[in-house]
Amino acid sequence: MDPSRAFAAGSQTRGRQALAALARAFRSQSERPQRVREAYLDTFDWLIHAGGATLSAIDERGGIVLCLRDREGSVRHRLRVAGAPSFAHDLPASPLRDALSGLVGCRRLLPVVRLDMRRSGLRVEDEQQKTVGRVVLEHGTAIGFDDGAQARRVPPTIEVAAVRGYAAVATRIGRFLEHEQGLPPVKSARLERVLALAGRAPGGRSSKLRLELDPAQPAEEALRRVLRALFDTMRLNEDGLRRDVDPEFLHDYRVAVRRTRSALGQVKHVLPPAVLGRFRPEFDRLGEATNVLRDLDVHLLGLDAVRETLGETDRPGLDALASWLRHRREQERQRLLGVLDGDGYAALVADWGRFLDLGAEPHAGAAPGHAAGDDPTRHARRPIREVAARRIRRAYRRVIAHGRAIGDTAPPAALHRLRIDGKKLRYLLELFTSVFDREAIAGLVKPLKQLQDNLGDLNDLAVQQEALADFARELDAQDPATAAARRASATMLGAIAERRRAERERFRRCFSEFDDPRVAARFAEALEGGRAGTP
Amino acid sequence: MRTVAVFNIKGGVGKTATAVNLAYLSAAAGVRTLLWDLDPQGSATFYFRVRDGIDAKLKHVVRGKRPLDELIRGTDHEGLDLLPADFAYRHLDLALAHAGKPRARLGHLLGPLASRYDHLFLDCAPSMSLVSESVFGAADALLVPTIPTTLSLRTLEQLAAHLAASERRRPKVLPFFCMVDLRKSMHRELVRSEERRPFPFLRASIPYSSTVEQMGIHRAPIAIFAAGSEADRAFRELWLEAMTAVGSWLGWAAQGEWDFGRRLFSRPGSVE
Repeated sequence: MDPSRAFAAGSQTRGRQALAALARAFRSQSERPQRVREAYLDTFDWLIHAGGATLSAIDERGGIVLCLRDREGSVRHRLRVAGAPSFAHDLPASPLRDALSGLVGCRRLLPVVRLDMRRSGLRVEDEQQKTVGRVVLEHGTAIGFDDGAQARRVPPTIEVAAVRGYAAVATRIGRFLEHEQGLPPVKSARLERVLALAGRAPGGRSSKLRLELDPAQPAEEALRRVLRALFDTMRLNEDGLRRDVDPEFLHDYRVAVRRTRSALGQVKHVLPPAVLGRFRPEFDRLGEATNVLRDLDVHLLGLDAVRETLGETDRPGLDALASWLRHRREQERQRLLGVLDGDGYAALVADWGRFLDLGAEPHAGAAPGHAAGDDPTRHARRPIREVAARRIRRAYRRVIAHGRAIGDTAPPAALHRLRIDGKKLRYLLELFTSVFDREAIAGLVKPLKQLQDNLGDLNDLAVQQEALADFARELDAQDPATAAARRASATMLGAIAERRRAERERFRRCFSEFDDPRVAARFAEALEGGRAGTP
Repeated sequence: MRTVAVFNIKGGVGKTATAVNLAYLSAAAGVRTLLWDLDPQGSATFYFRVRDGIDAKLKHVVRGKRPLDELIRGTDHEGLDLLPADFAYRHLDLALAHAGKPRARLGHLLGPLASRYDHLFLDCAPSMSLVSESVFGAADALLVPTIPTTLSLRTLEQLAAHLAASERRRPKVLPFFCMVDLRKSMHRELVRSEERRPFPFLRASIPYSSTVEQMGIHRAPIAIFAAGSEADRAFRELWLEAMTAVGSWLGWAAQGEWDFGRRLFSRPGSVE
């Protein structure tokens, strides 16, 4: 079926009149009215939509038909399955699974909107009684899944579907409906129309921190606002993390924890030592508790890239590796859930929330007997802009110094340390963007991001290499049943080593682009000049 | 894209019925399927009620000046498209010869369609010619309907000899018995005998049946007008076996994952 066009019928009666008029003007057969139940699926961050496609599960007697269409509505793949899949890898090996994996990797598929439609229509025929066009009048209800499951009426719409090679007929039908019947054409695609009804719009979900700070605000107050926003982000992602909706919830949770740790560790002489002493180790532990799970996620996400490099014969081995990883991941997830459900975490949440709302208790402030220069909270009252600029300058200098010290033979650990330095700098820039000139900061983040991506890829590849080596060790070298898995591991290890070499070579270029006098000048300028209107 | 050519040197052996029904079953199972009617008689085109004749000069098509894509017509069945026959196909040999590299030409023309379709069925004209050479170059498998008669088996031997003499890439050859009438003693004997079989036969066979002949009246695949009939069941078995043999995911999915497979067969495939 080729791309379709739609017309608003206004009401069912009007729609039926238009169909009847169409039946008089064109040689056609009417089709039996039917009820169609269909659910659109996507990942929480709309990867299918972003990939220019839609995935829907159509309820048919005895099972469902999955339908992957492109945005114009042409069917790319169909697959009849017993039940709706949660992940692409739940599906039997098929072109649809391959195409879907390419779009969503190992993200979870979630229902976006459910439709319950009544359809009636016509087949337009030529003199050989061959179908040369289809016209469908549909109306019904849509339920958005984020919408409190409230059903909304889908207004009657007439859709004209062209049959391949007979586009002219569809054009004539369209003209008839628009000009003879006066029905207005509908511009947007079907999914967008339905989503709009259900109060949803496709779009990204961003882990970016949107926070407006006053540059003149005292550092302690500003820092608490930042920490409060991060804490909210953590709490928001906790539910998705617990339900294992998608690896991205854990990722965002971890970023919030890491930013919190960065803010606590980097912004010195602002918070009282008692506060730091109580919470820093706790957040460090929390960060560590999520490390292994995230590594396994990274590894599973990386398998899709590796899949491309494998031949048909190694695929079963890859599947064995994937299920081993999923098994380990489940164990690790249970462990993390144990931490989140523990008393320690509950106490941390309660105490941290109280501190963020009320500030430190009085006795936790400056300890008596400190000389003025030694006051551990001596920057607490200074404007946040000044304090942040100072920290950012330092973090920047550290990245430059450490990066320059990395030669071609430097060990991976040195690169890893540089990555952490870079992260600290990036977090500071992001947390305090609003007290500087936004565009100037964005101009700094860009070259840094390129460097960080390179270092991040190096790290991810190392993680994958380790996990693969672990997996290979657990395989019995003598057992013929694991031969495929061993062979696939060896192939993958080779491919990963190759990519790692390439990324390592790229590092020099990425770093020198960051370690550039122009970037240095931009740093100086951005940190000097405040936001417009600020002294 | 898996390419299956339904081929026999002999005419009147059930090639078109096989191509039409198998292509329909592929589409009904949910894969994007194209059927190219290469026979100037245009029987497959007739079965799908498509007007035969392509609005293009044959030499332009063969030389790739008119992409095949523009000539494709949707059938009445979801997921099944047709490249209609043209009476000019009777000169396809000459056109191939003039275009140069005739044996690789067909594969070359089909290249751009590979991402659009999962399965391609070629309904070939009877004869052995440059066209069939070109088909051998493009197909993953030749599905050879064979009537259990001495003459039919002889043409199969001719095909085997021809392929053996060729140094080019050879498609997999999958003969099966077609128009089998067990009331005839020769049919009975030849179906049972293992002699004179240059290639192993598929297990599935198509019985002689008036249902197959009725395709011309209904102008539709058997699954549409006689679902569940003996002929319908036979074509489904043949389809499954052929898909497995050409390594289509559908073949082993249907066998390996029983639930999934049964579902493929539970209904003749709804026509939307």
